[in-house]
Amino acid sequence: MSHLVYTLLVAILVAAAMAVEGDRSARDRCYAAIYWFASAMAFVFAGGWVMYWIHG
Amino acid sequence: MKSAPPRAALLLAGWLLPGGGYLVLRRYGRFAVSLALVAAASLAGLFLRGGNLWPETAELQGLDGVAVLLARAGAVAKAAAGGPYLLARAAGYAQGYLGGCVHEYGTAMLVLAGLLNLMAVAGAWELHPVERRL
Repeated sequence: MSHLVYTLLVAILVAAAMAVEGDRSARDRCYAAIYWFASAMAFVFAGGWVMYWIHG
Repeated sequence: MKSAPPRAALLLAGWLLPGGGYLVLRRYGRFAVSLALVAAASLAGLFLRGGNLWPETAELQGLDGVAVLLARAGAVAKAAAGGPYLLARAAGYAQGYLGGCVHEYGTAMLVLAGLLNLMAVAGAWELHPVERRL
């Protein structure tokens, strides 16, 4: 399994779990899932570039 | 008006069956999603040959205190998955600490399954009727 596929899988699982929590409407849950998924991918992308700059 | 189920039932059901706390509270949708998430993470972890055994003392030789603590915390987190963890053990799946370090993708996925189940237990705890009246 490649790093990208694994990262996508973890991000999807975490986003879905975060969206389930709390008393929210279905639309808010959808927004929460998108927000968490996008945040996770942005964090990984930024972290990847930081590691690239540090290690080359 | 029905009486609220005891909180111990939420904890026990939530550990034995992922999302079981929601099932006790009759939140069937959340139960189904939580069960699917924990089951998916556990299955992925098992297929990726993640470590699921408690680290032996010999395996931790040479590690500093923080690394030992993290290794044991990881084992506790994997056990928090509850049902899938017990099923895997009952089915004979056994991967030691060192094997788990080699197959780190699977080990991380098994830890994630446990943490997702802890989130489900905490979510059900928050929805407990007695808690919500406060």
